[in-house]
Amino acid sequence: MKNKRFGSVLTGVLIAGAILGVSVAFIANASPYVTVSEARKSGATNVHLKGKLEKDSVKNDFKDHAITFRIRDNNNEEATIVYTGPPQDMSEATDVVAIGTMQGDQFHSEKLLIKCPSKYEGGNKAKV
Amino acid sequence: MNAEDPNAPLNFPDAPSWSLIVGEAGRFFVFAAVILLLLSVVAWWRSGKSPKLEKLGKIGFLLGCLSLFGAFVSLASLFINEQFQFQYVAGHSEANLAMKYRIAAIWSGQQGSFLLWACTSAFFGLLAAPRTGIYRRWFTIPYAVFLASLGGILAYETPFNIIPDAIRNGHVMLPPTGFGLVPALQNYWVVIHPPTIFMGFGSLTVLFCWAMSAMVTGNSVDWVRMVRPWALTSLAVLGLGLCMGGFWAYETLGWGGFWAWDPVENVSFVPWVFTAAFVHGLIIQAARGRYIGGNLLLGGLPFLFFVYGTFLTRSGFLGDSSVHSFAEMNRMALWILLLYFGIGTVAFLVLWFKKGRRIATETEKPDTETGPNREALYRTGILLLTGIALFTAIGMSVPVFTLFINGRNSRPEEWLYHQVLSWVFIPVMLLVGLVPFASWRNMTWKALLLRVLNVVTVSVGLTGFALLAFKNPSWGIDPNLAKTSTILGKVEVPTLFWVAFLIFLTLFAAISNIWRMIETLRKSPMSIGGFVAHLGISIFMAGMILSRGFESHQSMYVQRSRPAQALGYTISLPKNPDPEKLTDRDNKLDFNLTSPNHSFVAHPGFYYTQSEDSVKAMTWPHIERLPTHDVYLALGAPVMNVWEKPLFFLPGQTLTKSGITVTFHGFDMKGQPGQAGTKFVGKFTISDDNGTYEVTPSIALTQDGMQPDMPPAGNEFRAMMSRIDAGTKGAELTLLFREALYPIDLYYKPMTSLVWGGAGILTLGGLLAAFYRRVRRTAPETADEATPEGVASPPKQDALIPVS
Repeated sequence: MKNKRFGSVLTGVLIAGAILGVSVAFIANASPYVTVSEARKSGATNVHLKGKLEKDSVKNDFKDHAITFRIRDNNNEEATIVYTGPPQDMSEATDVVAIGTMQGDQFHSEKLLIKCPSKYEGGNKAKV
Repeated sequence: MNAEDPNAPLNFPDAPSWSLIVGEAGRFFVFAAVILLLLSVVAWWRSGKSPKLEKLGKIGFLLGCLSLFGAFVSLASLFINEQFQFQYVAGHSEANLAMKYRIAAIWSGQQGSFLLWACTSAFFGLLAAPRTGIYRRWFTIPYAVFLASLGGILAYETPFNIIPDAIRNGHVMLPPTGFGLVPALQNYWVVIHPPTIFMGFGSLTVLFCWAMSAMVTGNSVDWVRMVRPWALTSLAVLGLGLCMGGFWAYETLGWGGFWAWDPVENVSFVPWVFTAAFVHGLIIQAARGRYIGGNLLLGGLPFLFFVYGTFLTRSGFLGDSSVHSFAEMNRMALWILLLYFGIGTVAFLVLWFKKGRRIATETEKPDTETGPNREALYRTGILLLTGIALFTAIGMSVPVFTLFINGRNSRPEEWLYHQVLSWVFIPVMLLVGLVPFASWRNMTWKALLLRVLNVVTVSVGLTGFALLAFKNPSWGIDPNLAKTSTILGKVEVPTLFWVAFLIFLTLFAAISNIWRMIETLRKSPMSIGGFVAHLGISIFMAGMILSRGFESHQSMYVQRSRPAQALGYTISLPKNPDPEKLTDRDNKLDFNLTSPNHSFVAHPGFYYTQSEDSVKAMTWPHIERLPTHDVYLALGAPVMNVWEKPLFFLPGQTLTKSGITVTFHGFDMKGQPGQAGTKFVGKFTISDDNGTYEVTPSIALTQDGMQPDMPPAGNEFRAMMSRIDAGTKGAELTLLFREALYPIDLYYKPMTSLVWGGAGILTLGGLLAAFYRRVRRTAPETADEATPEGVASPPKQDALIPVS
């Protein structure tokens, strides 16, 4: 019986350890949402940079398959993003989350999350 | 909708009076459901003292559930009859939508999906409650509390609100159309995937309430036999729903993958894995009379984790970290959800710690076996499955953790899930291969390993054979040793070795189950369900690993006169899209793909949707399915404009954008000012890397307004003077490509057929297991279920091997 108690305590400790370890691993390696100045400072790879798209700044470079544009974050700071991932339609975008790394003055990204003003939520908005 | 001028008085016909009655009825049904269900709770609660109240409890529960269905039917009739005066209908549907999408639109939004959850949950509650026997009282009480909470959420988050603007002078007007159903949702999956997966979610409530009632009543033995078919149903339906979601993503989203560890995907994945663990736990208890405490806990976890996930995804805590976006939820409704989750979890866990574990140890049979017997391996497997579920749940919660720690969201990327979960996935697959050869009786490691030795040998041989087959150049795989992957979080190995190891794992698991299946087939052909299901899982995983591990991908632009090269194919556009059909939802654009080995015509879907202020290109990928691989072609929105926006020039001004320099020299007028036929001719000099061109685009004043022409500028471009300004003598220039650029992503994905085949085999195995069990249950319950049995004797016990 004593042996059994020890076994269940050990299992409990192991499980708790695994949960803790996995939580730390996840939190430490999750890619954070950063501001422009943080992205510049840290030089960290694989961060999420979010901001409002400056509509006029979008440039399609068809030869290099790159889209270059500027975004402005909540602190009103600007960053130039060079996007080289799969083709994206930027024509209706308002907010952009670029996932990538700051290299020099430019933020290089291969993955974008694009938010468009959705007309489909219109019905709900009327309520607020 | 009515948005041309929001201030203009609306003048629509009056809404039919029946629709207003139906709307009110829907609202009434929700309130009635809450009251009836709470009544049922009180009646059942007090039925301990006065048993007569039982009947009231049953009727209250029945009518409460029916009221929820009533609310759903009300909403459905508003959708089917296009009653756009209701906010929710207008927000998710539009005039002349095909009937199947009108129905799908019911659950395409927040309110409707909660209503669907309430209804599927009520459906399973009605089905299960009469079959719960002695557990009925304490089964119904938590069930009714839950349904009443959902009713409360629906009372605040109601789909029956009328648009305030549609009410004028006490009359409700009927707007002619709504905002529409998101075009990306409009395909057959939206019709079948949500109801299926919500059926799965609804069925979890049964498991939770049964576990709860087993603990309250103190009878932790009988419920196991009764709950088993329900647990299997949950597992099968939820699994089917998950697969459908993956196939939906693959077929329509255009990123060439099935699964992305998105929070919303995880919310359904975590309960499924917990249910799988629970099903295995039930087998131990049925066979050995052990693992009682574990089952009491595992019965509740799938449901609780689903409620937690629902709260997480709807609360807004996840920020922008999900591709699925949900509208902000009503605060009060969110509070009810949180309150229910908090109270439900605390009540369940306290009950388990205080009572569940005690009654479990009281009834638990002694452990008589040693070594790697089947019970020990099942226990290990359950622990590992719990690990997968728990770790995924942690990953899904990371954006919230980091929000509290750092004040902002962080998001675990796909690779991080793979690194963490591979620690658990590898031993799980080993067990899937090992367990079929283990017996419930005492067994030594040596005996077990000797039994699987043949399988290991065959698997190693087949892995080598598979790798050789992959070297075949026509398969396009490049077994490049220089490419490396990081595995298990730290070790760097050549990708090829890693994929080869994973192939070996899945082969081992698959062959082991085939082996035992063939052995069993001779003795008891109906009991192979478990083996078939596990074979399905192995094949499914092999498909996932291969299609991902050996994937290749290239992006390019294709123009009418300029074919592109990618992955050995030459891709050309034989003809431009038919302008007449560009707004047709079923429009296809054909591309020819030719290579020495294989040629085909891809026809990805391509059309434009028009809303009041913008035109948006919609595309569907084309998937060329071949036995050995898929060629996946994702078309992007075609690019016409060189610049995102036209540029405005003053006379003499020179501007450079996107590597193109333009000088505007001014414009001349030809004809009488203000008369039809008058023409303004602009003079521009345009230069790029290839040369310098003089262009003279013009705008003509016609009866239909200003009509610009589009003369060519070099081989690449056309120039259009889109606007002139009389005051400054300036002009606006739009630069277009002479031929539209079609962005294409081409993926080569080997062995995707295994994913489909595996899912099919898994389902088949599940059905077989469920069916066989049903046959057995009609026979009188005998003690043989609990009798340990060796593999050598006829393995009747194999009927207990789980569905998945």
